[in-house]
Amino acid sequence: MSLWRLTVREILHRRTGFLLGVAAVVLSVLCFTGSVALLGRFDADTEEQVGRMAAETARLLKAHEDKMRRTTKGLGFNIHIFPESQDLAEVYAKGYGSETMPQEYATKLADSEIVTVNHLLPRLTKMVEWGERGRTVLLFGVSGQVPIAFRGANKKKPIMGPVAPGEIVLGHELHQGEGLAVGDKVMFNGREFEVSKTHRQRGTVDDITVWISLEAAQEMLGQPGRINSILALECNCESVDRLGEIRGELGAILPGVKIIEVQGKALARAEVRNEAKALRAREQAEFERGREAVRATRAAMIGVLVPLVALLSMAWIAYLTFVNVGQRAREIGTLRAIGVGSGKVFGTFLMRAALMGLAGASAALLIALAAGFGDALSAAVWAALIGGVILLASAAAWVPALLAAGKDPATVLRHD
Amino acid sequence: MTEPVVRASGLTKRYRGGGGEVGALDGAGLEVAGGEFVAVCGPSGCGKSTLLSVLGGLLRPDGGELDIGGTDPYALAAGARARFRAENVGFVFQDAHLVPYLDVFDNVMAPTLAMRVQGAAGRARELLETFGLGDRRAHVPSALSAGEQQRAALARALLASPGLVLADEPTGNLDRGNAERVLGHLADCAAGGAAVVMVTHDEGAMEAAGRRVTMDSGRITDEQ
Repeated sequence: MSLWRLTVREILHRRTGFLLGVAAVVLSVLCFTGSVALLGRFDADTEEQVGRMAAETARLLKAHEDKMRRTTKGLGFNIHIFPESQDLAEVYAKGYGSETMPQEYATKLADSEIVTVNHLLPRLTKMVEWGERGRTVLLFGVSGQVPIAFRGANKKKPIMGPVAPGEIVLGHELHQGEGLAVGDKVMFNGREFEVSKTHRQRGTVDDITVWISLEAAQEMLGQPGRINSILALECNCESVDRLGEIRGELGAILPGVKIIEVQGKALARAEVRNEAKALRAREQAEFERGREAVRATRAAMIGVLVPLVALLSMAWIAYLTFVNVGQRAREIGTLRAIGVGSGKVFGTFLMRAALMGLAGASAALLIALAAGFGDALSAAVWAALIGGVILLASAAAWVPALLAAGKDPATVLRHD
Repeated sequence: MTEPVVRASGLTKRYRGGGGEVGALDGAGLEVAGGEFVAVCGPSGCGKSTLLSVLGGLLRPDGGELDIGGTDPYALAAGARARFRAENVGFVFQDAHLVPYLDVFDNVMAPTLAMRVQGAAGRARELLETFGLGDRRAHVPSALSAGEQQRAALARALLASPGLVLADEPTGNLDRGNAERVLGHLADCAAGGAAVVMVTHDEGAMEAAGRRVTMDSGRITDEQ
């Protein structure tokens, strides 16, 4: 006869009490597992939602950013590169400088691995008389943007396209005033051009500007191979000293230049981009905060509910074991009288409670698997949980088991 | 006459309860040799059952001396005393006190929970055959008659071949036929060399014992 046999036979004999204990364990374990599964599902669902939201936000903001980029790009170039000898007072007075530098500077920049500026546009500009029409115009010789070599296929779309040789682009005041339209032939200081484009009114010096190819302008102004500035657009680099960085990078490639930044345009562009980015971050953070708050509330509820159910189950197991000890008083007295030690009496009650825990946790595992949330816990956690439940059930039966072990057989049998 | 298995002298025991102290043993003394079958009789409350509990190592006396087979069980620690009981003392109670969820065979084997008994299963089967329960070994106690239950309890008491068998009113709930059968087995047990001490009110039971001891007010007052 072994303690195991005695315990199992007793369990089979008093099934109801044992099953009531098992039911409490099942309830506790399912409560815990269900809670973990619910939290896990909440995490997965909201994670997916966050992903969807992030993707949608990214898509919308990218579209927004592209739109804003195009809009701000339309504001024009905001970096002007001049020869070092250029007097900036003249630039601010006239809008352009009279000093020139080699056209190759633009190529040199484009061939470098420059990152702080985009859209390099060499130009030769001078206020001239349009002899045939008796007007003072700003002559703008432009070759089209020089592609930055290392950016390869990712090179930016040009802000300003080239003007082909033999073609002329006219500002609003000029084509309106002279009654010229696209396709018209027009003489400009002894050369014939075809109007390829006319601009609408901009309210700037562009309204009295004539754009022709750089080469034609150089010939017309007697400055072959020379330009008087390179226009560029700065990158939207988040930086403490943006202009300092641009100067540093350009200065290393072109030592003999000076650089000015058109602040209003630069700031507008950077702020729009950064605002878009911040908006995206704020929306994301707000959702994350809401999600964390809901999760914390649920976790707090579970943090109260699960221990409460576990405690009630332990109390129930303790009560059932007390009842069992009472039912078995005579048996305990008899066994103690025939020499069975108190340790074994204690052991049989503890073993009974441990089996209650094992049966309950195993049944809960099967139920959880059948209900489809058993996989909320890994096999290792399940094993630890079952082990923990066995220990807790045994702990719950500890006091009544001690009471049973401490029963005096003479007293029990005398009062029998 | 062989050496006494039980040597008790001057045993005293008082119970303390809500109504004050009640004397149960007042200088009781008894010697029982191996092979003796002693009936202890006397009026209710005279201390018979208390004497049996003290002799069996279940109830520590307030005073007096006790020697069971050369050992004072109350000089042993609780665990050792339990083991001592398992090895040396067989108990038979008025009610059989069988474990209700174990079958007859497992009930007879119950002492093996306390100690290893060489050839226990064979000995249990042999005892069940001897006591006419060979065909009842797989039955639970509730399926047995009172006489069968008491014989099963006697078989349990004898499994470890104890030197001392203590029986408290073993025939109290039995009809004449079953009582005679149980008494016969107890006598056989004494004939086998064990010291048997039986508390009884039953005249027939007293006659079956070889020696009669009468108690009154916690003392042995007469011996025949």
